[in-house]
Amino acid sequence: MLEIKQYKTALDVLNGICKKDDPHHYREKQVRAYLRDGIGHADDTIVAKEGSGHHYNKLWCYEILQSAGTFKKAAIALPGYSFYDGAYWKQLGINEMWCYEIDPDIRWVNMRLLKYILDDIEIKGKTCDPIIDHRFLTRDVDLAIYFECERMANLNTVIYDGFYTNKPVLVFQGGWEKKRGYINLCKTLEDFKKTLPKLDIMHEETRNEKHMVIGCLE
Amino acid sequence: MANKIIYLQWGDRYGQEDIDKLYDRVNKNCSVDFEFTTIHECYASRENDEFTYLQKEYYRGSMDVNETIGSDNGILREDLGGCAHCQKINMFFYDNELFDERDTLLYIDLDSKINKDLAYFFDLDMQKPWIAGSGESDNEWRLLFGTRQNPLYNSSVILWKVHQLRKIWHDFYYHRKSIFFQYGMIDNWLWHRFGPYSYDGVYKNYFNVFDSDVVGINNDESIISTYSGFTMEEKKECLK
Repeated sequence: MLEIKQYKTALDVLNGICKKDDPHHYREKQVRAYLRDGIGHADDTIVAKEGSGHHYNKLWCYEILQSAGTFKKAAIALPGYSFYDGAYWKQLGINEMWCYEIDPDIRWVNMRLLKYILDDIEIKGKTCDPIIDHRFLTRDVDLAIYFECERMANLNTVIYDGFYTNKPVLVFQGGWEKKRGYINLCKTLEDFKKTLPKLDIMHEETRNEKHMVIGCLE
Repeated sequence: MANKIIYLQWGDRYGQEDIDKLYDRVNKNCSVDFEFTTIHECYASRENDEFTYLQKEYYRGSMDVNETIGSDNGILREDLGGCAHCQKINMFFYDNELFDERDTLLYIDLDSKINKDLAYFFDLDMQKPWIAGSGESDNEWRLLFGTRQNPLYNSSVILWKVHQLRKIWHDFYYHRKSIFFQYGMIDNWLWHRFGPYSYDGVYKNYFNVFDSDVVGINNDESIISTYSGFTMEEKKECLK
């Protein structure tokens, strides 16, 4: 059922965004390329293909999180386009999701891409920089995910003991791929961990030029 | 109350010859009384020393910026860290020591060409400070937003009253480490923090933006033409 809703949502977005008077028409090429990474048939949902870069790295994170339990309220910093993510958020039991994007339009495109999940999950967001505007992030979450830490200053400068009120599970992903806007590259997992707050680590792994660390604040 | 036209001199990229050229251009194109004022980087403070230290600490390129960001490398100045032109930020704090509270301050980069009468600037509504735009009019820049490229502010020309920009200095100082790490250029940070997409209602649309026929990029039809983003060779050619 979810898969049908996903297909319908994807078609609606593509049919809308291809029109010249659509407010996000100039993103058509980008959204098409993003959706092209999809491949169906994984527990009746559409998921991203293995090897499809950033999108796949996100799904890798969700798969690991499934063994960590369920969450009610979550926050993601810099999620990028999140069409494939929604189904995983539902599987994780999330019913309120906060998305923080530095790009003002991605939030609105995401609301269209996630239409298939809006009956189940309340999606909220802010256009802000998760580092400089960290004081304005929602703090009573059960799960906080920081994708693309390469795009931010060291997170140990803004996340400290007591920053989050619920002792949430924290997820950090970062790597060493050289790319525009990637300003904080870490070649080794140990180097990456030095940029993070002190954690009781539940999982750490390196795949596809990416490190991922999951844990709770000490 | 006076109209002050100011420029800031730091580093050794521009010399007395460039200052004289700007003065000549201003003198020929300003029909109202004005005072031409130099602010030197040597107007130092503890904070200025700290910014200088952070610039050295967080800048990740070589001394030759153009060599580091060469087209083959696929990176731009913003990716190198540090905060280019951060020296401007101190003008926003120390303006009250240099000028009278009622003065109107027009800052112009040394690499600017004055084409028409600057009196226009001293007749503007000063409820909010003014800044130049980057001249981008389509949506292409938005695709690059996430990489902090293409800010729509251009700090080559700023118009303000004494004290009006003090909040900006305080915000810069409070977040200095993150800014030097992440933003690469002061224009990018100003756009993110004080532009139309700032999360914060107090800072949102903090500036009025000059139309492109007032301050343009390489546009001889505008009152001031700036050359931000151009190489030194290109600038020299345009400013002949």
